[in-house]
Amino acid sequence: MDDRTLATAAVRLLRDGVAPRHVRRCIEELRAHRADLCTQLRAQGLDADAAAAEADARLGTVDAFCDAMRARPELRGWAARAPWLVFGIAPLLAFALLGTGLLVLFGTTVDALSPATKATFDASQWRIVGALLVGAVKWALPLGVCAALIAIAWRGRRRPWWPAAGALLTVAFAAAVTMRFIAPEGTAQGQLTVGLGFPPRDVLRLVVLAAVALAGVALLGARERAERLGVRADA
Amino acid sequence: MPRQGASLMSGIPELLLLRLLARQEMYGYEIARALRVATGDAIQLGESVLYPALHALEERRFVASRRRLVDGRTRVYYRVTASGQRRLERLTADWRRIAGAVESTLQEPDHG
Repeated sequence: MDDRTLATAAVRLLRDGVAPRHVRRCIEELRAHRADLCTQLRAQGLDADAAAAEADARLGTVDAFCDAMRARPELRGWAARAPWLVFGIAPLLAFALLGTGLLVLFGTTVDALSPATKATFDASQWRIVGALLVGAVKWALPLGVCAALIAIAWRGRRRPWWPAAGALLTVAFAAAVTMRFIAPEGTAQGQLTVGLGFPPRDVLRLVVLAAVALAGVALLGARERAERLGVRADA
Repeated sequence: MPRQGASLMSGIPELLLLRLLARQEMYGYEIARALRVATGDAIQLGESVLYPALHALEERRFVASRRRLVDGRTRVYYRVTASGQRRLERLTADWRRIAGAVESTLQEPDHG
């Protein structure tokens, strides 16, 4: 159970759905355990090679370890247990909640400003603030949610199909969001309108968001292929 | 002593781990050593399979863990929780009942 064997075992366990936090910590604990065993055996007079061989014998085979991990349903990660929840529902909820939160935060902040402070902003400055807000909700937020989705799949060595479906759902939902910001000008009050329109009319936004999100998802597939080739080369 | 098969051992590691950790907080390597001493090497598991068992117990809230830096190395220490203590009492009672039943069967004279 040298470092290379443990690294290969970690990838196998992640692919089989064991939660990344359990895999990472178990591997860390096994490394420390092996180091302790080697130290103890060397103190008993064994040379380095003999101590390593005896330590490996006491730890058991990597297959037995992986089987024991897989046999424990409690150790499975949510991404493997309920991919529809992690990659389907959670990103939609995250987008809706974060988007709403951002708009509420903006509205509350503007309301809290004194009339004198508001008067220091001219119409062009309000337009910049509005463009940033609209850009955050229409572009940055869906891409951020897709990035989080891909990061979860990356960490858990998930296959790209669920993340791809989740990313497409998220960008479709985001593209259905309509927003319009009218800057306050003179005595006229500003206005922010937000709505949802299905099917999304902003096809360009849908296509661009989908292309960027799927490019990220493609990294998952690329790594999976690279690792498969690596395993074949090792074999 | 040959190593026992996994099916024969199922359930026993949980009982032994909870019993050992009920005495004192320990990290994996210490647990493996304590197990060898406590069982007189009668139960020999691949020591690596301790960790899935410990993590499963932790996931079920029967044990809790914390990291401690000892001699420059980070160790993950495990201890039994209150629900782990109750689980240990239940498992111990079950084991004693089964062991007692097996023992009394073995002690019965042949009927043949």
